Amino acid sequence: MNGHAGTILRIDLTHKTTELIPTERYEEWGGGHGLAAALFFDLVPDKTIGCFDPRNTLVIAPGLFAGTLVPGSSRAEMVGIQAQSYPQEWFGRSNCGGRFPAMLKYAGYDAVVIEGAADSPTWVHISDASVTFHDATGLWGLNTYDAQKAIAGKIGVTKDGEHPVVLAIGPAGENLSRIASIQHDAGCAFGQGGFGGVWGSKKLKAISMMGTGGVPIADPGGLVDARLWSERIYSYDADMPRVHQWQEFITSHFGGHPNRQWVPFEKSTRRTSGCWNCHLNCKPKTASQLGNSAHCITALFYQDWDLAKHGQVTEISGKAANLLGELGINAFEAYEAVTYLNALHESGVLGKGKHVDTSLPLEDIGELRFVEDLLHRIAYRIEIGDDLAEGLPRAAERWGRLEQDLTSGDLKAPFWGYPIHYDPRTEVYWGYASLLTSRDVNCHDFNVAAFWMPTLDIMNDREPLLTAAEVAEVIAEKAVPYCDPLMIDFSDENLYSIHMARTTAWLLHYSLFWKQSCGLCDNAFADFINPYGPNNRGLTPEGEIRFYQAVTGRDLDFAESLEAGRRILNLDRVIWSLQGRHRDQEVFPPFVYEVDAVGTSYVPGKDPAYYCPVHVNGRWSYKNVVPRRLDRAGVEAFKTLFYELEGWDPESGRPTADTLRSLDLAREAAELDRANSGAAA
Amino acid sequence: MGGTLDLEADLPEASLFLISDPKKCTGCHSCMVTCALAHEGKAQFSSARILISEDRFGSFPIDITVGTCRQCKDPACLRACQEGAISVDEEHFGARVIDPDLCTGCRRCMRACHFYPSRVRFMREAKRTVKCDLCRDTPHWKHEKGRLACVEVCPVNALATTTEPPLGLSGYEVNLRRGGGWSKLDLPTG
Repeated sequence: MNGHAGTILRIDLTHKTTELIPTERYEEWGGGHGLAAALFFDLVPDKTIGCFDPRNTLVIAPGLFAGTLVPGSSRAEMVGIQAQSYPQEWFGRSNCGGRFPAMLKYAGYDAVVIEGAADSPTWVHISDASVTFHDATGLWGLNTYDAQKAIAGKIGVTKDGEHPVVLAIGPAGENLSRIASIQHDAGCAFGQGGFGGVWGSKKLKAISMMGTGGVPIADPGGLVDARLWSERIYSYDADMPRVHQWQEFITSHFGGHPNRQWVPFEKSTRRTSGCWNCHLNCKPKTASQLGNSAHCITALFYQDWDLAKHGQVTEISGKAANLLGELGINAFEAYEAVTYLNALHESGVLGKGKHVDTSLPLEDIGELRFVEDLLHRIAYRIEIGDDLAEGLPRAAERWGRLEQDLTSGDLKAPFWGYPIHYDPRTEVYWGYASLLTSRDVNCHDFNVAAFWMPTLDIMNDREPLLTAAEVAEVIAEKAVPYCDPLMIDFSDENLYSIHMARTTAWLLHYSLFWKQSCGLCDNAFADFINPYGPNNRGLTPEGEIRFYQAVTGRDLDFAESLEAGRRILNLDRVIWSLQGRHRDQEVFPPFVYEVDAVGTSYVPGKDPAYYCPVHVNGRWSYKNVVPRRLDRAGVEAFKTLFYELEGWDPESGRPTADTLRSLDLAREAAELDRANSGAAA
Repeated sequence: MGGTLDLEADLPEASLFLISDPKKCTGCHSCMVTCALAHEGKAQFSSARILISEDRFGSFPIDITVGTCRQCKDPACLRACQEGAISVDEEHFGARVIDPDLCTGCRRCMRACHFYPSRVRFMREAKRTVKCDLCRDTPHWKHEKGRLACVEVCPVNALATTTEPPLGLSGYEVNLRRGGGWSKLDLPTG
């Protein structure tokens, strides 16, 4: 199939052998997540194994578009039994961009399957058809940057000036942390999922790759033209950007542009940098190398504390960002850890001689000394760091604080133990989509329309680019197949409705197909609202279809693509069901129901708020939806609606055999049926 | 094709040149893939006629080099070719071009190129060399003459063309941070 490199590589770390599978056997799944989940399903007979079991199999799969000219497409998925989720180690996913997704395709592979466990530190090098195992004893203990540089030094820059591509774990992964990342270059990582710890358990220090091949394209000229069309109409003009304020703050749409805020301490000596084939190029790259390629949560991780201490964001924030990457620690978890530790400290629970006894210098939060100390403790499991390396819910459990802090909201971990991202009490679909899968869903598709645009514009006393009624029109036009304007209604009355079930389903189906399987970047897609597009409309769904047809040569209706995403969701859901997932487990922690969300202030002196589109008494408007909490019965009613919408059994939340067979998942249905029968017996 | 050349005589100078701003380049490599798609119909780096080299752990601004063919006044690649496969196409901006039918893949031209990495590239599968032809032969991409695939696709306009022969090697690397946009994005303009 055009878009495919042609081969899947199986790496057996136990026996240090490799095997090839023709990608055409899995062609129906495209690439990325769909392909990876299908491989996991076939190659892991017992889905109930733990994350550190050598039988846990990780699959890394670049998106179908990786290595092509499709904008924002050099991304890859990793799936397997994750270490991070709480209380259960669910089958999970993580996503990473940068250079490696494209390079892996150029080396000839649509996926790499990592099986077994090595008995000593190992590094695997892929160079086109050659795959070699190397002793990594000398690399074990190095941080991720030094390990990557050491391996790159051994391989060498090619005569064409291409630098080797490396993925590596650091001390956190080596020490089996459940919040360990797998780092690639300076600022790209498989962050969520704790797969760095799984690599550590397999004694896998690094995978490097060099590829000299390419990806076949059905319509090369059509692809070039589609790329130029998308750039010229929907992307910023680097020489004459019409800057709209909220674009400076967020980039979660195709017309986003490089942000000022990632490295504000280094303005005049930096470039903006991008993953391969990106049109947006969101990452900063500096002369000092501080904060190099860090963006979003990695760049912001320590900025608020730095700002509070020093009155401005200083180089300390850049050093903190680098340290996260070097040690290989998940930025989201570290971000929430500082907040949580500070809350416990202020309430007198944590500190020297306290209930949670630690010598961590909490009075120095905001200083470099504190963040260095904290991150080193986590990476090397020193003192309190041994608890934190397990992730915040497990640490709180060890401290006897879990129930209490999930009730008060001091520990904001609303879905499977993952730190809060967007609040389920305000942008409720985000919470639902996370709860119904196995991690913070991290899909910003509706996020600009639902939150950022109205909140930033209203807080800054500006008219939002689009009225709430216009936003509803955009959703009705573009959110095929539902085309339901009430999908973007965040009024109290709509939170548990079939409309919000459609929002959640659309987000999951779209993301699983277009972003996680084709490889489109969440920072750019879906593109509903775009100030550069005609009538402020983004390129979704026309753009995705144009790219798909140019790459593959196949006709695809947008509704069919969403159905393909639904099929992938059902495959995931079968795996979770085989792990024991039941509707009774899909509940938020108490604070979501018992404590109000209060919003955030993005403008000094303004009260915290959270503005969303609402449809009340037949009229659309923007409304500050906080304070707000969710209703337990409402969430349960929502779940029933969602399960029915998906064709899942409302009693168990599991896909029905009829639904699976209608999606051509009969084999999966049979395995689930056997498991259900066994459990019943 | 430019036909047989008298190697003793001065070669006609090119009339279109590819210039770049390495400080503006984002390292996205879109130019390389577009070049390969337009010329060879495949998404890959190995047949791109432009070379971006980036050390992702390097420091701005020396972390990226933009390797463009200079369409040299006295091209070493052409002088080195013993098959007469490299010529000047006076019908196409005086581009120094390789005839794929005459190229034997000996790679003398590649080695003769004064620049590192060599602006002449060897395609292993086809066993021949390729170089920038100012988008003369792009069978996979229809476009207006004089519009270069790499320039068209660069998302930040870090590549451009000029009809004025650049002065010296530094003339090929220029400041293209124009129009005030770069400063609006709070990126360095100097």
